[in-house]
Amino acid sequence: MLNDDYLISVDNVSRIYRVGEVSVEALRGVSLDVTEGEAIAIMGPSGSGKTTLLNLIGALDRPTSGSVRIDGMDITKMDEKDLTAVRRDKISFVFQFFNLLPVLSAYENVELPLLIGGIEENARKERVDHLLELVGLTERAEHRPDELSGGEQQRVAIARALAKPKGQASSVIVLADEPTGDLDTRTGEEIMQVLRELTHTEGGTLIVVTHDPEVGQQMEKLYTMRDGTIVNVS
Amino acid sequence: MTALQVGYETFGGSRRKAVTLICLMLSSSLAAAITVYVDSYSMHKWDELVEIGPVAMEIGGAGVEHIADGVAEIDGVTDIAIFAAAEGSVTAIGTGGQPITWSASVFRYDQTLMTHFGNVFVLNKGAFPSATDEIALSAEIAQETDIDIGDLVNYTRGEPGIGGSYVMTVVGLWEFSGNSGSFHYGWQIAMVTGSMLDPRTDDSYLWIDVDRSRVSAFNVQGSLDYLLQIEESIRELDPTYDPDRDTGSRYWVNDGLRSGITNYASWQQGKRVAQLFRAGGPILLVVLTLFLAVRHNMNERRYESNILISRGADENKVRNMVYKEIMILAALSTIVGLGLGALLSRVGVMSSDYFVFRWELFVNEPFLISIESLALSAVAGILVPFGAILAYDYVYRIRQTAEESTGKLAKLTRLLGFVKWDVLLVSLTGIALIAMLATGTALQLNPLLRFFSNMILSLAPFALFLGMASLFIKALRAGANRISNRMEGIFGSIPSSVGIRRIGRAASSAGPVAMVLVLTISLAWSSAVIGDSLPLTKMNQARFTFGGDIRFDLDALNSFADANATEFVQNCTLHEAYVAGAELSITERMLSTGYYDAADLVAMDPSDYLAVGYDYTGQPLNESPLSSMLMELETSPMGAIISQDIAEEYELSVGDSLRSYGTEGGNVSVFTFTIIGIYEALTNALLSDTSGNIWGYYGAGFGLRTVWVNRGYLSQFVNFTTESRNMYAMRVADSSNTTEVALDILEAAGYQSTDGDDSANNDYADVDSEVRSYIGTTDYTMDRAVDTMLTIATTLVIFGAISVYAAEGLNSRRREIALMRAMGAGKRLIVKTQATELLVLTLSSIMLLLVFAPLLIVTTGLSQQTSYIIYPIRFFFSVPYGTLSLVLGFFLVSVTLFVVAVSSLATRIQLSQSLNASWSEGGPMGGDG
Repeated sequence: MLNDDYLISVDNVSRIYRVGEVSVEALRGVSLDVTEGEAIAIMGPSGSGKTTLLNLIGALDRPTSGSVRIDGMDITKMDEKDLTAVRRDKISFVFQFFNLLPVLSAYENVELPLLIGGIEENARKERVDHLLELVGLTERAEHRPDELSGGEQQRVAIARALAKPKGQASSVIVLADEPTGDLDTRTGEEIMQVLRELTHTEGGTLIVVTHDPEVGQQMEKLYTMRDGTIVNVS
Repeated sequence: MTALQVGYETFGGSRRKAVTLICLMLSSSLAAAITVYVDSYSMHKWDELVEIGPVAMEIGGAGVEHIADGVAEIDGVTDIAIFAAAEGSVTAIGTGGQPITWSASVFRYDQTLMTHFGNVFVLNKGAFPSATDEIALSAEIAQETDIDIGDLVNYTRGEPGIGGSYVMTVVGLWEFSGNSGSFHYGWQIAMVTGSMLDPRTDDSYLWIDVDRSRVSAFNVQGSLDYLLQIEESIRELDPTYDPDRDTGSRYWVNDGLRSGITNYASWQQGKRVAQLFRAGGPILLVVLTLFLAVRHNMNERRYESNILISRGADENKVRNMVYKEIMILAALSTIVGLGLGALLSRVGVMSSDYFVFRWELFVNEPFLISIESLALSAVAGILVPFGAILAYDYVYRIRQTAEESTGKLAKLTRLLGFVKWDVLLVSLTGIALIAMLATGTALQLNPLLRFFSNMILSLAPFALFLGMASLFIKALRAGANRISNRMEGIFGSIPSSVGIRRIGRAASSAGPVAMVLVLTISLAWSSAVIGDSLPLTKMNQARFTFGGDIRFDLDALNSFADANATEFVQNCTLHEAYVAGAELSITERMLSTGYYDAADLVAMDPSDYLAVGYDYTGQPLNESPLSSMLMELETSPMGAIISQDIAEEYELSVGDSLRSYGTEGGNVSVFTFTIIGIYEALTNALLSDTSGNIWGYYGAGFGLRTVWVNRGYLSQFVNFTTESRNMYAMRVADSSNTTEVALDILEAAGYQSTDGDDSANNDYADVDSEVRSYIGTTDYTMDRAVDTMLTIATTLVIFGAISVYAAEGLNSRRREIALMRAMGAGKRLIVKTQATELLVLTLSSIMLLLVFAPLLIVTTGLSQQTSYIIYPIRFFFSVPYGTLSLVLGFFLVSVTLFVVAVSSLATRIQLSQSLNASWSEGGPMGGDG
């Protein structure tokens, strides 16, 4: 099912891990298509293959068989240099435990992808200020992660996810793995709202892996996985 | 999301254990390197002290000849013979024609004895006596009398005047082989046939040899026990012997072998302790690294510990579990460390000076690891880590207790936390050092103060270092942001902000790494400077002491060579290396009428001596401030240049008059001089070596109580031939070897060295042989060799410390790298970020180095003892910039290669694996702390 109209196209992907003599088939012929600007959720029990699928889409891992196309390009056939460029220009992550760099301030954490992308200083500043304003952290820009609450740290992580070079936010794929897993319910709801809204406003595409059915309900599509396969799409 | 990656501790554990093993290995290898080096070096001493010839023990006591069979049966005894000696005297005509009598012990010639222990004696000439009128004399007395084979001597049995006298024919001249004579008390002068011994004073002895394969330098204590057992078995042959009732044995044993081994053991122990004491700096390094290793283990296992504690395990038990593992690793590392230490010791063995190698010695020199070395290294390998654990535990508990408690002590502890101990330490030690350096030689004049000042000079730099290092760590923590901002232009934004700031965050481990780096380079620099400075110090001291490059004692030479001084001096001027020479006549005069306060008046021709001598700073006189004073002394014959102490004692200044008193022939003569110059110290050219004596006069300071006067003026009042000591000081061409020049001149003058040992002759002194004999001493050679070895060993410490640092934050480092990669950072940027961090750490260390190293070098230099004589300048610093650059370059290249390797390895991660694992570690249960 190859279709270049899709931003993300996962086709019959399998991923087998080998631990010593034992082979574990984490994904078994999974196929999935996501259009630009779409927001989807992937749910399933632990070990069902959600994170493996997210890793493959995020170019952090390569499938044992099958293909993953981003913007029409088959990233499974790319060399490391091109993969780095894809990660730099197209893909962002939001982690459960925020994973901000502890030595950098909120501002610098958001600025980091732009620095890596070689954006010049004025454009960089304008973009970071804008994103911090969107997540409501302008006043906390100079604070380090250990001086921010969990919710604030996740907001910084969302702003960082949307800070991409070349002003190509419209094509950014935000991959969020349990983004509310380490937050209380209320903060979690706020964060999901921010994530959903901002990605939508900025024209990005959102894929959320979650255990939380409520989070799943907020997405446009919900994929349910079990034993390395997609068992339901709603 | 799983909370923890499968096999987390298994993988992380092997890395942690490897790093810990490397660090733990350092203490045992350092101890092994030093002790095995001393062991191997000591083999020469063993040969010297234990090679006592074929007789191992001499047994005496009434009726000892009757226990010969019993002694022969004792386990270990391999050979036995009876020998007899009695009192006697020999009279012969000396070289001057007058009779000389020697009274001492006379041996009985015995064929059985000769069969068993004949090689105790070396027959220089002739044969042993076989008839009653034949005598074999000791070669020693024959030499004094020019007696030869066939000559007649008078032999008296027993004490002179009591026993009968016989005219005997000398048939042989003998001496003991090697050290063979050392087992027998007294002095032996002759050997006669049995019936010629004095029956009233004759005594029998047993000579025995033992199985020497059971005596070895490897097991000194075992060897001693073995010999003591034989001695005891011999004593027990007396049935009345009962040590429990204080009843002694009638048989005594003079165990030459045991005393040789005992002397060897104490020599070896002294050297070991001295060298271990000198290794104070490297030992501090090892302790620091071990502290890092223990801390690393605690941090790495924090997650596992927390899990166990949260499931109800006792916190102390969990901590002890970690400690136990470290101790098991310590035991393992001791074995590896011993091997490494033994290898390092060979580096020491082949070093003839600091980083000067004679490669063939690596194989040719003996190799020995004694039981004591094995034990000492094992103890160091286990106890030092144990000490580091105790220190860590103590710090950990104190901190925790103080944080948690509300008692007075806890409050006091918290209060003390506000006192900046490092500032206090740096201030107090700094003040003490400045005070000590400012006192100059004053402290050196008192032996007790000298001892304490040397102790302080040795220890203060390390105390100061700890304080400075603590401040440095704080500065790193506080200043990392500022440094990162400044460095953006050089390293780029990301390497600066992420890499450099990481140093601030990891300052608690980055600081000690920097400390290790600084201390290592400082120690290596210090060793290089000391190695270069000691010969220079000795040279300058010798030049000052002797009053020139070569100094001949004309009075002593005259008596030997029967040549007059004028001829000898002319002879000197003819040598091709001659540059200048001056006669110095030294006479002792009083500076007050009270018959005390003597001073040496050195009479010279000022313009001659100007081209010959050196001042106390090592400068040639013609280039020193003394130059103008000597020129004035030339034109003002009544002038005098006095040493500073005289000026201070009598409150004299230039232009004042100085009176000196002499009391020749009961008449008091007074000479008056006008002071034209005052100088810190002036030589009297009287000493023929610069070693001095611990209780010697010059412990008060050489160069003091001295007055330089014009020879022409003083000759009007003093007869130099009879009333003064006369020296001839010489300056030779720069490239000349002063020893060769001196010996050439002496040979030309017909002078024969009495014993061939230059340094033992007081008749002349030369700078080169003084320097050579100093750098040829065992202590000097051992010190330089150990310095070389320690420099190499401390390099390993650096790698150990950086390994800990790199491994310490590996999980958080991997998380950061994975994050940056996930954001699209290329490998090059990642490597640059890692390298920037370690390079900035290295550069910061160099800044600390530039402050600390000069301090360590100065204090180490000033704590060196080159002589018991107190000189105005006790140490001349010579900075071998080439070697220093080489050392720095070596460390920088090594560290850079290491940094590049660590940086490259750090980027080789499985992105998905690292991120998945680190997602959990970023949370509340994980992290590196």
